[in-house]
Amino acid sequence: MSKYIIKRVLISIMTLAAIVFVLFLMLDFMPGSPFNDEKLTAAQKALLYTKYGLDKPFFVRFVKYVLAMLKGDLGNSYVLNKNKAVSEMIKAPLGVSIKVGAMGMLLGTVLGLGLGIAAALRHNTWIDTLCSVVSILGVSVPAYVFALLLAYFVGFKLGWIPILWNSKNVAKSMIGPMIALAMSPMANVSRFTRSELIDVLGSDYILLVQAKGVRQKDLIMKHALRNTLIPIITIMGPILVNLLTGSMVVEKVFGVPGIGTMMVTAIQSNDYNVTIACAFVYSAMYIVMMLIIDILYGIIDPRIRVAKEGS
Amino acid sequence: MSFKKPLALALALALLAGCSGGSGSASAGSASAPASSAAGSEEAAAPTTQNEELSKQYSNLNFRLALSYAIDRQQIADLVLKDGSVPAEGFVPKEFAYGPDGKDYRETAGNLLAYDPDKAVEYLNKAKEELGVDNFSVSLLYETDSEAPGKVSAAIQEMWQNVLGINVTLVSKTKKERLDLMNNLTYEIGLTRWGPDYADPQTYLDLFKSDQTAYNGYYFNPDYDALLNKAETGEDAADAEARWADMIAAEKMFVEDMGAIPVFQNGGAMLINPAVSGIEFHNAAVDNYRKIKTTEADKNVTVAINADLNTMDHHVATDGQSFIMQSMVIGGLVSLDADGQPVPDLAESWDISEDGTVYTFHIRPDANWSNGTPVTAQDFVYAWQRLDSGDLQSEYAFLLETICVKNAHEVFDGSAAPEDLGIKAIDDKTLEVTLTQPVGFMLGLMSFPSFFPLNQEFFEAHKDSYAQSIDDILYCGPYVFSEWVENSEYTFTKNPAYWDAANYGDYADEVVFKFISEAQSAALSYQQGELDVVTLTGDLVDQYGSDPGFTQRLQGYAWRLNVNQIVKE
Repeated sequence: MSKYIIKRVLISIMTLAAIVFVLFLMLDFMPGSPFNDEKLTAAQKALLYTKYGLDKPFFVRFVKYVLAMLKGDLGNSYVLNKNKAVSEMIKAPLGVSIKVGAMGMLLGTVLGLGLGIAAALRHNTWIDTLCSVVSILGVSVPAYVFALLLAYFVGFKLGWIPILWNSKNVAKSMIGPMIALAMSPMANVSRFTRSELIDVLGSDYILLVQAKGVRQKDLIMKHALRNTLIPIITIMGPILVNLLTGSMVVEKVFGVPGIGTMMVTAIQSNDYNVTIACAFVYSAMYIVMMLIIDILYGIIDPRIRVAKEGS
Repeated sequence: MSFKKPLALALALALLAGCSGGSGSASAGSASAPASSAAGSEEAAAPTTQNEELSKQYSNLNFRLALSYAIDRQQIADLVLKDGSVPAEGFVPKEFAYGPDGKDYRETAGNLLAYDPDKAVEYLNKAKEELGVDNFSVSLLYETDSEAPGKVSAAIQEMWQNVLGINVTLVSKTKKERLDLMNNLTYEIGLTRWGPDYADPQTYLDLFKSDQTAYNGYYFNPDYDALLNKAETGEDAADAEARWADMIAAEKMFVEDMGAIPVFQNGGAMLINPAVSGIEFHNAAVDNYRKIKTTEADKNVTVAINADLNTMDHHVATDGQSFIMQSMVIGGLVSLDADGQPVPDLAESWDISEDGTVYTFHIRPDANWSNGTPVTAQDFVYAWQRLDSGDLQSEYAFLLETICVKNAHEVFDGSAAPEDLGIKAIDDKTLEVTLTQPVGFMLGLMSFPSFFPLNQEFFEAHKDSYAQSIDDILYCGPYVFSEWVENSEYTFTKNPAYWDAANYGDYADEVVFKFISEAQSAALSYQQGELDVVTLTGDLVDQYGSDPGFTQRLQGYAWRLNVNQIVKE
């Protein structure tokens, strides 16, 4: 197991290194400049480029950046928060985003599992129909629209949740964005849980377990659900991608001071260092989650671990 | 296991590609100027082949006149934008600059533009004859960062197609791409805007002088240059009336040449809680939020801003939001009253020499920084020297040259020492500014944050962290920055050490600026009473037009169509 984990960690680190390179390259091709003011003359612009070392060749800048990065220095912002260290800038927004994202993911997964199990056990009843409707809505309604609807009806009409983020009441402010973000994981998880569980429940070994007279509760929890979870863990990766991209628009609607909002602004204004840092953080979060999922695989299903160690 | 690596890469790619907003059709933007080759070698990288046919088309005066006469500017302001914008009457906007006779510039200069479909067709036919073509195709470039340019461009497309029967292709780009295309002259017609730096027509008219190559690669008129030079630094510089007449003549010349096609003057629709008063909007200066009052008991006012605070360093800032907040906590020699006239602020009085070139400011004896040290003339000297230093490369250093401060240019390019700049501390509270010629709008500009003071001792003690947190700023204005939640909330509370604190009791105790990029959420929150001031986008105007707090203001931004007479490819 430990050999497997070490291998996975090393691969993850290499992937991250590759991502930094690609990000750097792509930013280089991004049109425009961080100094977008209509009032700047070409000469002034050139001086600013020199001042920030942006006139240097690509590889010089890249190596300099990576060396600084290893020391925890992510450079300074050019636009968003002029001359401030990016490592300082992203701390607070990152914390907010992770909190909201993790809560949304957790809520969505738990609700999705519950809904999926209920639908599978009450196959072809109203619960099943409800589950289908919810998952279709969750998959097809974009996070942006859902967030706006939530802000309008639950926030504005009913007044149950605050529409906008309030840094003095973070717990309450989190409710809206959390629910909006939970929608997509809930829909996906419930859909997969339902179909997998129905499959598993119809399989021969469950028939055998039933024949042995195992209690219904044990049958579901110990025998059926465990096999259902494997495919569900597989889809957690794509769900996470949805969650990350969704967080950008959800953060916008609820005015959440998170990393998504920051990244969008940074890209729009060519704030290179901030963009790289945000994109890197997003990639890192994704890779870490994939790593966790991989390891979970091994724990839940020994066959995968064995097979992978063998190869 | 191999599928995760590409997935991770794909995620990074998707994140970047998805957000860079490359919505346009042409790919010229992305290929033209990668960062590595930008600026320094831009000239070399810029395309050099000229499209003769298109250049000829846009160089034709009758064609440009036809385009202008076919635009119904009133309709664009009233039916398309609906946010208080008004039709352009020339290149210089209205309610912005006032002449020696006290009259609005626009009133004296008159309306130079009209919508006249018959004339438009007439000019078009002349152009067809001159160029020997049957019909024209044009492409119109606009930016997608906000929604107004797209709406206006679509309206213009329709007008040109209906009135002139020409083919109009719309090209949508992000602002930064649009600027690249326009700087490289690889566009045909582009919708762009200019915001004033000071309350004088010069801030607009200078833009089309032949030496300002960045924005007018196509408009060269020596007579126009001569007229403006005469007014700004030549024989009419000291004669306010003659100077004014020159400006008006220059603008007329420019519009007759159709150097660019003015379209509209920016308005702004807002919701302001009826309990709140005292926000002073200035078309050519920073809006004043220092004198907000509210009849509500908590004396707290929350303002939604749709652009974030970029920096509290007033020599580095370039955006309106940052300037507003800096003005709350620092302040200049003068501030502007509700009518935009300079009134004493940190300077309690001033003398101007007879020839109008030497200003002596008397700084208030009771003006102190929040750490107890007095605000001195030396603080201004140090600040201006920093603003003008080549090391800092402040984007607003040019203002020192604009108001003709002695040696401003020489100090900036390093050929003179900072001490040679025309600003001296006679004693602790007496400041002397020397100009090379009289400049009428100099005094009003002293309210602009670039000219605010800076305490040398404090600055040098903080250096790299200066202005990056509330403890890294020194305050001498009516408010202090009391809470800074990055990307989100900026709270200002009363400054007990403010020289006029005794008379500030009536104003809001706390002013909070809240960054919200989604206008719809902000408007809903306003309705709930959580926000007191909200800026509306055009699509929300219909929805909130009848709200008691609905307010429209005029801004100094003038939007125009640049017509590229040297189309490169």
